[in-house]
Formats: sequence, C-alpha cells, structure tokens
Amino acid sequence: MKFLEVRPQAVDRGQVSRKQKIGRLRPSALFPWILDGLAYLYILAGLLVFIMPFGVTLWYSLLTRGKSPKLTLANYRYVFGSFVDSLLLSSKVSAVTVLLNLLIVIPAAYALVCYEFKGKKFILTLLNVPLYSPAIILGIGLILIYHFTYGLYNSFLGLCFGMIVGTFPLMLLPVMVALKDLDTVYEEAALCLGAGPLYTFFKVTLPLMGPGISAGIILNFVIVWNEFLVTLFIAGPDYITAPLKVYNQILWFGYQNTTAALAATLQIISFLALILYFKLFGSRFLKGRFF
Amino acid sequence: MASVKLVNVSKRYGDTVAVDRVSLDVENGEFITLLGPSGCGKTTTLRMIAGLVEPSEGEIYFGDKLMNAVPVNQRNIGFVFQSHALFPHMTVRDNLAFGLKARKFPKHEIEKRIEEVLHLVEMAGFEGRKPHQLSGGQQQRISLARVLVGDPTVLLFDEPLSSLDFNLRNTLKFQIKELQRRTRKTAIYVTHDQSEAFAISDRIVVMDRGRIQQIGTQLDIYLRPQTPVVANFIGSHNCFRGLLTEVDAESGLGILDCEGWSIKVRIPEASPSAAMQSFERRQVLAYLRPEDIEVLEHPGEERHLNCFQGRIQQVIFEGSTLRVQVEVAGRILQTEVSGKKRLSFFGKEGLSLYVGFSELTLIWE
Repeated sequence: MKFLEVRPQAVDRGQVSRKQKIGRLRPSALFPWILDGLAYLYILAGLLVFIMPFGVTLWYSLLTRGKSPKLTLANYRYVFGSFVDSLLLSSKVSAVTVLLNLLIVIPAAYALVCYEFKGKKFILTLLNVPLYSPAIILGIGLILIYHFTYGLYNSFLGLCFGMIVGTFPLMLLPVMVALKDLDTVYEEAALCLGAGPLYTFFKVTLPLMGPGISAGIILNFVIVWNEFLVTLFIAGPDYITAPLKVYNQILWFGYQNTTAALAATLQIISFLALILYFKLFGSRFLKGRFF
Repeated sequence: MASVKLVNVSKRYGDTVAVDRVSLDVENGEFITLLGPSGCGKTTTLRMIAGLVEPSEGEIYFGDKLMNAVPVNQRNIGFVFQSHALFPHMTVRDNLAFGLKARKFPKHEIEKRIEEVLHLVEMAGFEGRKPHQLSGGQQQRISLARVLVGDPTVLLFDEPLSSLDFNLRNTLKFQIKELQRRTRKTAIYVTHDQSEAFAISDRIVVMDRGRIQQIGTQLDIYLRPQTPVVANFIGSHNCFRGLLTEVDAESGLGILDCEGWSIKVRIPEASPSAAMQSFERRQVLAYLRPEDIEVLEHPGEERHLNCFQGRIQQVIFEGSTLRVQVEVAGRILQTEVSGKKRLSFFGKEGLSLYVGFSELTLIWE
C-alpha cells in the first residue's frame, strides 16, 4: 500500500489582482502627486481632530507646573505613588468582573446557542437590556437596590456586581457568536471517538471558542477599566477607582498635570490591552490560522 | 468487530420523512456503500447508526446488541467526516491520542498505537504538525488514522473524499478499501459518486427519497436495476417508455412499441414462460446502456435484434471512449465507442450510419 505524495495546487497567475485593478483606475494616475497629496492631507486632518483630545492630555501630563513648563516624568512618578491605590482598585475590579462574567457567560452562551427552550428569545432580550440602556439609568437603579435591599453600597463586591450587570451582554455576545460559528462536527468527532460530553466540552468546545472568549475578555476589561458613571453612583467614599479619582481631582483641585498623567495612564493601559489583543488573536484569527 | 443490522429504521423531522423504514443487514467485515443523490437519506441513516441522530422508530443492532439507547461515545464506532474534522488546536499526535485519553488508556499503550497507526497510513514523522500544516490528502489520512487508532467495531464514512481533488480521490479510495480489507472491519460508506461506490464496495445500497431502492453487488446494480430510480441514477442510459406487444412465449421475445417505433426486446429469463402472455399490453420502461449499442457502417448484421439507420448528431471525445449521439427516427441515442474504432468517428458529425443493439433492461411500470 502506497500513499501518493500530495502535489501542491497550481496557482492561477492569469488573474489580475484586485489591487492592480484599482491601481489602474485610480484618478491620481491622471494628476500624480496632487490628488495623492490632497488625500493624505484630508486623512491627516481627520486624524488630528480625532486624536487631539488624547494628545493634549498626554502632552499636558509630561509638563511641569508653573509659568515656564518643562518636560518631565515626575507626574507619572506621582501617579504611581499617590494614586496607586485607585489604579490597584481598578485592576482588581476589572479582573474580578471579567472572571465572574466568564463563569456566568460561558454556560449561559452554551445554553442559549445549543438548546431550544421556551422563552429563549425573551431571555436573550432581557439579558441585553443593559446594552441599550443609558449608564445613568443603570446607576440610579443600582443605587436604589444597594441602599434599600442588599447593603452593597460602598463595598468591593457591590462595585463588581454593578460592573457585571452593566457589561454582561458585552461578554455574552462575542461568546455566543463564537459558539454559533463553531462547526458542530468537532464535537461530533469527539463523541464518536469515545469522549464523554464533559470531556468534549473542556477539551474541544472551550478551546475552539477561544477567539470569541478572548474578544469578550478584552472588550469587558476595557469597558470596566474605564467605567465612570455607574461607579460614581455605587462606589461610595471608600472605593475610588482610577476614573473616579480623575473626576474627583478635577472637581476639587482643577485640571492638574498629575491628574492628566493619571488619565493618560488609564488611556495607555486600555490601548495596550487592545494592541495585545490584536497582536495575539486579531491578525491570526482573520487569516484563519488561529491555532 | 460486529455485523450491523437495521430493522425498519425511520427518521422524521416534523412532516418530512428523511429516512423511511430502512432495513439492512451488513455482515461482519463487509464493505457496504449507501449510494444516492443528495437528500436521499443516506447520511441520516449513517448518522443514526453512529448515534448522532436518534431514529424516530426502528432498531439498530451491532451484532446481537440493540444499540438504540447506547450513547455515541459508548458505541465504539469510527466515523470519518466529510470535512476531516481534525481538532485544529491540537497536533497530529494529540488528535490521535484524543479518543484513547478520553477512554483512559495507559500512556505506553497510547504511544504504541499512535506509532503503529501512523505507520499504517504512512504518515510517520508528522506527529508534531498542526492540521492546517497538512495538505488535504494528509488531513484525511490522519483523520482515518484517528478513527483506526481506537480499534472501532464499525467504520462509518460520510463522503470522506468529496472535498478532495480527482487524483487524490482515486488513490485514497483504494487505500480506504485496502485498510478495511487488512483490518477486517465492518464498513459503511456513504457517497453520491457511483464510480467510488463501484470501486470499493462489496455490496451497494441505492437509496432515494429516504427509501432503499435496491441492494446488490456492482453488477446487480449496473446490469439489473430493479427500479427506474436506480436505472436513472446509475450511468447515462437511454430510456424508452412503451407498450409491450406481440409476446412470443417460445423465443422469449417481444416487440416494444414506443410511440410508433418498434424495438425487439428479450423478456428476462427469470419470467416463467406460462406468464409470458400476461406481459402483453403492459407498460414497460426499457433502458439501453450506451456501451451496448454498436455503431455500424453497414446494415444487416444478424447478431443484433435491432438495427436502425441514423445520423451522427454530436461526437464527444472522452479519451478512452468516444461518446456519439446518433439521431434515430427522431430520437437521440447515446452510444459509446471504444477501442481503435472510436478514432474513425471523431469529427464525423452528420455522417449517416447504422446502430445495432440487443440488450435492453426492462422495468415493468
């Protein structure tokens, strides 16, 4: 018995690629330089407007106080000295929220995608209510409940629960999409090979949902990390997260360079999370080479 | 190893019947193919045998054991999917070890079996690769290995080759047959490709619209189709509908009247001569295989029951054979010419010639 070595498939070189086609039709072929230059100018101007608020904060955070400001990193040293409690609290809240959300979302998504039951659509709609209701409404609702019922106001757990209620659907949707897109053939193959349902779930289904789950984690993290309005309502005086700190600082002391540094730190960490996500998952996932 | 038996197995989805009272006996070590057009219920039948689909009624036995209530993962089957279904996040080794680990085999046993099975499919040295680093044929071979490594009682194939290119399909189908012969496992193979079915099966089950149309060997199916569906599905036959007249019990010959065109036909030997007369005036479908028509340059040769004059409409060169469409009495006959002779007809559209034929397959309506 001999297996034939597989020959690589021939590549069709006769076709003109889309890029070439567009290149041929580009108007700038008629007015070289001028149209190209204008196009870049337009894009840059748009970007400038878009980036300016972040740029200004970043610039301001790198200056010393006073009449003749100089470039310095002292503000950041101050942030990691005096504001470190807020940053740590924000990290803890984000981590705990993401973790608890995961524990709720994965079984929920599995049930919503894989099983048929009465009232499924209704439940799904209810679960998504936080997605399209304003944060202020959620905040007011939570503060009423916390004060009068659970006594969760001004507590770490209360803060996390508030975040979970607000961000749960953001995690649920990508995980559900990942499950829906997952070909059932892998689970069937696992069952046929003699694996039980639980073994199949943990060894096959869950790892293959990886891209969806990680998208959910990043989205969830960035939202919770920067959440301000709901926190303002339910956090209480002992639990000042970093965004809340920024707000308080501005409220009491005006716009200081150190506050700008704290805001910039928040921004940079969100940005790094997104970069990390795209580096780790984005490009490979898009190419179908996730694993 | 075990035989597989289906007794009146049906599957209904709401009002639609996907599989309709299918009964089937597959002997131990037999290679059986479910053949039929898409939507005929062959895949559903296979999935019911695997336990992936629950039958609406009927019983499925492996050997003497009733399997209806046994969950998929305890049936000890090997299912090869159309898409190879290798776990994309695992290496070849982990894919092969998956079922064994789930069934708690000892480590040294797993290692030994993986090595053996990779040797069997001639893929040794690929243990560390991920599925996307393999070519289509290699992926399908690994998925075959993954199934064999667990030593299943029954092998089930769901069109495993349909996503591969022509050459690869040809080599792999013989390898599958060879592997099955060597491992002596009962195999049930689903395909819509009759040449695939003919190449590898011991017996073929032709299905259509959820029902079994005919069970038999390649020759049974090809030469003696029992229903119009089978005849139409197998090969590109010429088909005439007509009325049987002038049955001669002595010679076993009759005349088929197809709207004014008379063809002499031989009534199947199996029919008792006493019953011959009763065939008269009956509606009959007559199938004529292209290769059973001889294209002649001169008329009047005695060896054919029928000989007609015609004109060549179209000639299609297919390599080893030449497909010639001949217009006879206002109908188009598909004929096939092979051997040296085929070359003399190439490009001869419009040529006047004769066709002779004797062998027709009759199906009573």
